[in-house]
Amino acid sequence: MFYGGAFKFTKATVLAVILASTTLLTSCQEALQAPSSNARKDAISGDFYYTGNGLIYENNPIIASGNYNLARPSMGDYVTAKHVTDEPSLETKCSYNSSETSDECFKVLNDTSTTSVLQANNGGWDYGVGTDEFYQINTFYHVNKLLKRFYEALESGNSNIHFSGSNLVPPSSKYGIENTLSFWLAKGLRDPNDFNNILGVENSTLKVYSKCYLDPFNAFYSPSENKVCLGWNDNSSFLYAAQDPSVIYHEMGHVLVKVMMNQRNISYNMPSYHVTPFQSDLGSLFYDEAGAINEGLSDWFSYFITGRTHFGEWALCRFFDASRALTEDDPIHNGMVSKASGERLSYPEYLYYDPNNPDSKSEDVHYAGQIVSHYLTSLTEELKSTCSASHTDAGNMVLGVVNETLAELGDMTGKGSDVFDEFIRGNDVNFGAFFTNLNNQQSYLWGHQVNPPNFRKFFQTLAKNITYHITNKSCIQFTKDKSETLLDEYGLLLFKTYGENKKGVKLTDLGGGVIQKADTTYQDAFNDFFTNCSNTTFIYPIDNYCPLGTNTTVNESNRRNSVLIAKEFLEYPEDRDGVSPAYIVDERSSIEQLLANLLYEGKPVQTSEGSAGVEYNNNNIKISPGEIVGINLNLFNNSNSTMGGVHILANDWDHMRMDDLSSTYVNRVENRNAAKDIANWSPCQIDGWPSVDEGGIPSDGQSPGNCDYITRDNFVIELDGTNNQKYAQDASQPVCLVQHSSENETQWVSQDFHRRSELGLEASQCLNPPGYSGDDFNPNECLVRFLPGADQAVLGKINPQKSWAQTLTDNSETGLTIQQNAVTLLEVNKRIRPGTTFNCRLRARFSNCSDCFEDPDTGEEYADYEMVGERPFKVINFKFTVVD
Amino acid sequence: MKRKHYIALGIVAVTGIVVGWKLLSTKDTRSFVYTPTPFKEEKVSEQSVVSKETIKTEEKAPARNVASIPAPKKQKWRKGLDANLKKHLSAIGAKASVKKLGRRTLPSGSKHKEVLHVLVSIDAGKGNISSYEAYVNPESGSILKTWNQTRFENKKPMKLSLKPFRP
Repeated sequence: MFYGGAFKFTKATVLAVILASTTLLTSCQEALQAPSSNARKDAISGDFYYTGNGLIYENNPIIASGNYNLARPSMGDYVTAKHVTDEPSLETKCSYNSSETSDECFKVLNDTSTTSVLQANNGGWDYGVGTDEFYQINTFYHVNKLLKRFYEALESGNSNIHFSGSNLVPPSSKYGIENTLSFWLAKGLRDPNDFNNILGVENSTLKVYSKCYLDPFNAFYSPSENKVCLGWNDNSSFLYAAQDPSVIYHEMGHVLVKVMMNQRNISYNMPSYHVTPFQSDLGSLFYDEAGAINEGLSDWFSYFITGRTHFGEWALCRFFDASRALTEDDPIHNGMVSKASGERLSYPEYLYYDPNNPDSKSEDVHYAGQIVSHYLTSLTEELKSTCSASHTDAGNMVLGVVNETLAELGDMTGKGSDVFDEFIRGNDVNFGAFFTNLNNQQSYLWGHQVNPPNFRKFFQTLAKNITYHITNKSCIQFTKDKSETLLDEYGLLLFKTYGENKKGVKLTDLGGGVIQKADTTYQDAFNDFFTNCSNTTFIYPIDNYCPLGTNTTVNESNRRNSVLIAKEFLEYPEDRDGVSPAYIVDERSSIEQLLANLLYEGKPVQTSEGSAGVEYNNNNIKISPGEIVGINLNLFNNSNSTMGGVHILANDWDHMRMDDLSSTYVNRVENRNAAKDIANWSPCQIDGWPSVDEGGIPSDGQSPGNCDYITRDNFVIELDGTNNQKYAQDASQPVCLVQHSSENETQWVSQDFHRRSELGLEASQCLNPPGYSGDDFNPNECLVRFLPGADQAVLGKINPQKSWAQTLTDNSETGLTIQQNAVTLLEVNKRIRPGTTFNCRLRARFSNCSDCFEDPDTGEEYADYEMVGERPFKVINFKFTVVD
Repeated sequence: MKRKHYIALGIVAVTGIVVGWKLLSTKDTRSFVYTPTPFKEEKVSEQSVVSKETIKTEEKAPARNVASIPAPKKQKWRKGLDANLKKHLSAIGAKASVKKLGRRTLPSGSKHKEVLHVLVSIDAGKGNISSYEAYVNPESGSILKTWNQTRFENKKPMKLSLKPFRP
C-alpha cells in the first residue's frame, strides 16, 4: 500500500493496488500476533564480555529485511552486534567541546516503575534478543548515537558562527555554552533557603523508558519531568516503539529542539548566573504552526542520522497507518507531488495532506510538519550537490542554522543575542535594549501566544541565517537566489525582507518607579560602540560586530509560488449569505470535557466559581448569563489564494485609553477607601468604530497615554509605594466592551463602568475576582471574558472564496465538528441582565499575510511591541447580546 | 445553702456565661450597603471571598486522643488549586497531584510579585500522564502561567460539535 511506486491508474493497476493493500493490511494484522518460537535468541555467553558490545537493531525490521510486506518477522534475524558503551550501566554523561554535563545526561530504564539502571554483564551487553534488557540496550545505543552526532554538528555550527561567521548579524546561539551547561537540559541550582538566589547551574538527567506502558499505543516527551516514554502495551505485546530507531530519533528530536530553544535562557557573568522564569517550547495548542515546525524538525532528525528519506516504516505503519516521507520522490506520495518546479509539497496547500489518506482533511501537526521536513531534507541535499558536501558536512551546516534560528526564537531574555545583554557584558546599561519577544517579562506571552513562531517567522529567521552563515561563508555556491528559489518552491518565501536591522525598545530604570522607554534598532544600539567594520568575520567578543542599517530585500523574481495576501481579504462574514459568521457550543458536557482536556494538556484555565460555571449551560445555542461557551469565528477568505495559519487572538491588547492620566487606580474597594483617583477607560476608535457619539476616541497623536501610542512594555497593573494597584498608562485591556444606555443615548463603555453604574456589582461578584487574581484584578473583565488558556485559536488554512468551515467540510450549514484548537472559551457573569449587548474586539492575522508583519508604508518589519496593537492584525468585532 | 455552695454556683454561672458568649458570637459579619452610582464612596465592608461557600481559613482538628498528632492544615493555595483541578478533571476521570517546587519572585513592571512554582501531574489512566510546570497565586492557588507541557505523539484531538450562531 505504501511502497508500490507511482502508477497510472488503469483498471489493472487499481486491482493490483487493492490486492497489494489487502496483503499488507493482512500483514499488519499478522504482525500483531505472538512471534514464532525461534524469534528470540538466548544470551550469547561470553562473546561480548569486556567489549562493551551488544546486539541491537541497526534499522527497523522493514529496512533490515528489505521486505516492505514483512508479515511475521522473526525479530532475532535483524540484530547486529555493535559497540554500545563502556560505561558499567546504561547511563552516561554528554560532552560538548570538552565540557561535560554536571550529571548523567540520560539513562535508560525499562518502565516507569523501574528505578535501577541495567548493569553490564561482565563488561558486555549480551542479553537475549526480545528481552526487556535487549530493548533497553537498543534504546541506549540509538539515543547515544544521536546525541554524539548532534554535539559533533553543534560544535561545528557554533564554531563557524562565533569564530568565522558573518559580522553583519549578531549571533543568537549561546557563546560560552560550556559555562551555562545549556548544551543539554539545564536549570538553575537554587538556594534552598532563597529560591530566587541562583547558586549555579546543573543539568537534568533525561530518563528514557524503553517499555513504557501506554494504552493506546503511543510515545511522549515530558519536559517537566525530563522523560521520554517509548510505548508498549499488552494489547499488542509484540510491538515496541523502541524497535524502530527512526521513532527513537524522532522523539529525541523534540528533546533537542527544547535544548536549542532554551540555550539562551541561562546567562553567565562570572561568578553570577541569570535564569529566566520560564522555558520556551515550540508549539502551544493541539494544532498550531509552531507545533508543526517541531514535528517537521523531529522528522528531519531521523534523516540527519540515517540518511534515509522515510521514517517510521515499522512501528507507525503497523499501528497508525502514519509513517511519513521526507522527500517528494517517496512512493508513499503516489505521484501527488514531485520535485519538479511548482509540484513540491508546499505551503499552505499541503497543510492538511495525509499521504496515507490524501482525501482527508485533518489539522494535524504531523501532516503540516511534512512541509518543514521536506524542505529541510531538500536543503540538505542541495548543499551536498552544490558544494560537494558529504551527508555529515551538509547536516552540520543545516543543524548550525537551525540551532541559530531556534536560539533566537526561544529567547526568554528578550535580547536575541549576547551582544545586547548588559548582564553578560558587565552591567553596561547602554545595552539595556530588548529586541526579541518584547522583553524579559513578557517574553513567554509573546513567544507562545502573541507572536509565536509560525511558518513565516521561522523561515524568515532561517533564511537570514542561511544567507549570512552558509551563503556568505561555508557554501558560497548556495547563493541567496538559490536559497530563495528553494524556499519559494515550498511556498515558504513568506517575507519581503530578511529583517536583520531589528527594531526594539530600550528600557532604562530611572529610579523611583520611572522607566524610560525609547525605540531603538540594532544599529542605534551600536552606533556609539562599533569601531571596526573592515573585518567581515565575526569573532567573539563582539567588538567587530558591524550592524546593517537596512534590511536585505528578497529578490521578487524568485517569488513564483509563495503568495502573499493583504489582510483586508480576511473577513468576519456577518452579512454573507450562506455563511455562518460563527459557531457556538454551550452544551454542558461538551464544555466540561473541553475544560478538563485543556487542564490535562496544561492550559491555565481558571473559571470564576460562584459567578459562572457549566451548571448554567443550557444548550440553547445562545449566550446566556452564567454560561461558559465555546466560540469559533468562521472567518472568510475573500481572496483568490489560500490563507495559511490563521491565528485569532482574544487576549488583552492596547485598544483603550484612560480618560484622565492622573487617575490611574484600579477600581476596587481598597483603593476607594484609600481615596485614590480611580481610572476610567474608554474605547479607541478602530476602523471607525465606535463613533465619537458612541464614546469612541478618534486618532489623537503619538504621545504616551494616547490611543495612537502603543505600549512599549505591556506592563498592566503595578503597585504604588503603598501597595495600591494602579494601571500603567498604556495598559492593555480585555477585549470586550459593553453597550450602555442612559438618558436617550447609547454608548460603548468599559465593563468596569457598566458593572458599577448599571449593576452595582462589587469586585467579589466579578469574573476573576480579587480572591483569585489578587493584585492582577481588572474590573474591565468583570462581566464577560475569554478564559486564559482558551483565548486564542488557530485555523489551519482557509481556501479562496471559502470560509474556514467550508474549507474543512462540504456541509457546514447545520453544524460543525471541529478540533479544540479552533475554539475559544467565553465566560459570562450570571449577574448580567439579559438583553445586554457586548462587542469583543478580537484580532486575527495569518502567516502568508502581506501587511501583518511589515509596515505597508515603510516596508519595515514591525517591532515586537506593535503586536499589542491593531496594526499587524485584522480587528474582528464579535458582537452579541446576552439572552436569558 | 452553705457558703461553699454559693461559690460553686457562682463559678458555674460565670463559666456558663463565657461558654455561651463564645457559642453565640458569629464569625461571618459581612454586610453590604451600596448605591449604584459611578465611583462614589461606598459604605462597604467587603471581603475578598468568591462565593457563599467560603473556603474556611481554619480546619476543625480531628478529635484528639492522647499522644495523637493533629492532622496538618492544608494551605489555602493548595486547597484552591486542588479544588479547581478536581472539579474539572472529574469530567474525564483523571486525577491530579501537585508538588510544590518553591516560592519565586517574578518581576512585574517595576515591582515584583510572589508566586509559587509547582509541578502538576495528571493521570488519565493506562499510562497517559500529562505533566507541566506552573506558577500559581500563593493565596488562592489560581494558575497564572504554565509551561513545559507533555508532548504526546498521535494524540487524538477532542472533537466538539458546534452549531451555527448568528449574533
